[in-house]
Amino acid sequence: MKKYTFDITIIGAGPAGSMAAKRAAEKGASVLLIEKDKYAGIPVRCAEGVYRDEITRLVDIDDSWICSKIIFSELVSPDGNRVRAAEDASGFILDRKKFDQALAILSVESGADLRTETYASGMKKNVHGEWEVSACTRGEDIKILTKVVIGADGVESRVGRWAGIDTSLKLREIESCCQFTLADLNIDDQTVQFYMSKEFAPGGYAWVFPKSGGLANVGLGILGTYVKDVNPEKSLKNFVKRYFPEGRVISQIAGGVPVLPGLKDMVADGVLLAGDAARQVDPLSGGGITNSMAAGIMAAEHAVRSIEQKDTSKKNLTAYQKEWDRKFGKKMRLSSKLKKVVDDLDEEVFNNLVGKMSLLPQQKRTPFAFFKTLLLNQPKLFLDVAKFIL
Amino acid sequence: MDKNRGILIDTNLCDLCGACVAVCPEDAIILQERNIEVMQDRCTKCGLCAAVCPLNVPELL
Repeated sequence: MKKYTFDITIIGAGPAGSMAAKRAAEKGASVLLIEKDKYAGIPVRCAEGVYRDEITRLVDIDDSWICSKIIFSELVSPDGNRVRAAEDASGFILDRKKFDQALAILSVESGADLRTETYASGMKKNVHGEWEVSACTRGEDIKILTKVVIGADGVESRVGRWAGIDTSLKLREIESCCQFTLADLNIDDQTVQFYMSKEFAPGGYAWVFPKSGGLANVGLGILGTYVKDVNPEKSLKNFVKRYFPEGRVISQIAGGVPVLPGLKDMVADGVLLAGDAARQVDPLSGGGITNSMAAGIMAAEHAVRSIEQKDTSKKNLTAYQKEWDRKFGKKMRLSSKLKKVVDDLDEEVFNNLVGKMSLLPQQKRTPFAFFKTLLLNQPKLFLDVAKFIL
Repeated sequence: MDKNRGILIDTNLCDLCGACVAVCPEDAIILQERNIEVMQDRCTKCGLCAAVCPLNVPELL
């Protein structure tokens, strides 16, 4: 069996893995990035939306990665009323196939080795305290000897479990999602739409993310605890029938999105988790691309530092988790809290809320105003949420 | 294999999204590029995989 040796082995070439590989290679480490699929970014399992501010801080955006530029967001209440929010939802709907491949290429240009069609099946520690990753690359079994493993292996991550971290999700911690790419839609390409509805998406919401030219990602997420009552695939078909009967389904994907404030442990001896594997998705929006990229960069920096310090212990790597928590922890916990508030809202309250929001001038209809209006009408919630905001 | 235990996931119906892998408390589901496999000896038939699946694919045997 062939054996390879690298300082850092990164499992999964999504946004977290590719950014980690890029940064670790830039810092001079020898880096292997493995991806089970034939191409990074395929299949796409994502609604593809990002905020402009967040993504531009992380990477120089190329126009060819963008399907449409978003200016407006529209909230649709259960009774079908619409309110257009303020213009602070400026963002992009990406072409994840191009985007993920571009990030993977950036990592290679920085010096990382990328191997696709390479599936990690397990790992164990050797007597020197290094990890031995077992993998199969294009039909051939190999071993990779490595000081640090970065698990960026998505929602289905097993790297954490191999290192003794319990990453398994409870049903209340995952959205079960289905998405169609629809053609022939007559929608505004600059507006994302969010539908709140207990009928179609209990414990979640439905989204319409335009990809220009009458195309859009139209999907919904249902909290795991409700899936026994409402099946995401069937519900999406009904949703499309109700709101977009003209739409033609050109592709369909399923997916799971973690919606918890964070993992208790994101590190183990010689192991760091990043992205969906570390459950770093924003629980309220379900958005994870930019969080994952930021986490990948952070994980790589701590991995390189730990190797330079010749101390890859969990204790030394905990600084990664602390940095994540310092930068994202508060927002993640607030999002998680607000998600619970929104999930539990009566439809009637939501209808009223959308009605009240539409009375505000458009520039004042910010997410903050939304929650303020909500909380002022629900004093009990106010106290609950205040401790997260203050 | 104990006939009273186990889960069947039909790869032809499955979209390989991995939601079931994420909720499996026993690490009993393996997701590869083109197939998904249940390690029946680990499976406790808890049913979480079936409960989370967006396409309702897993079947309790």
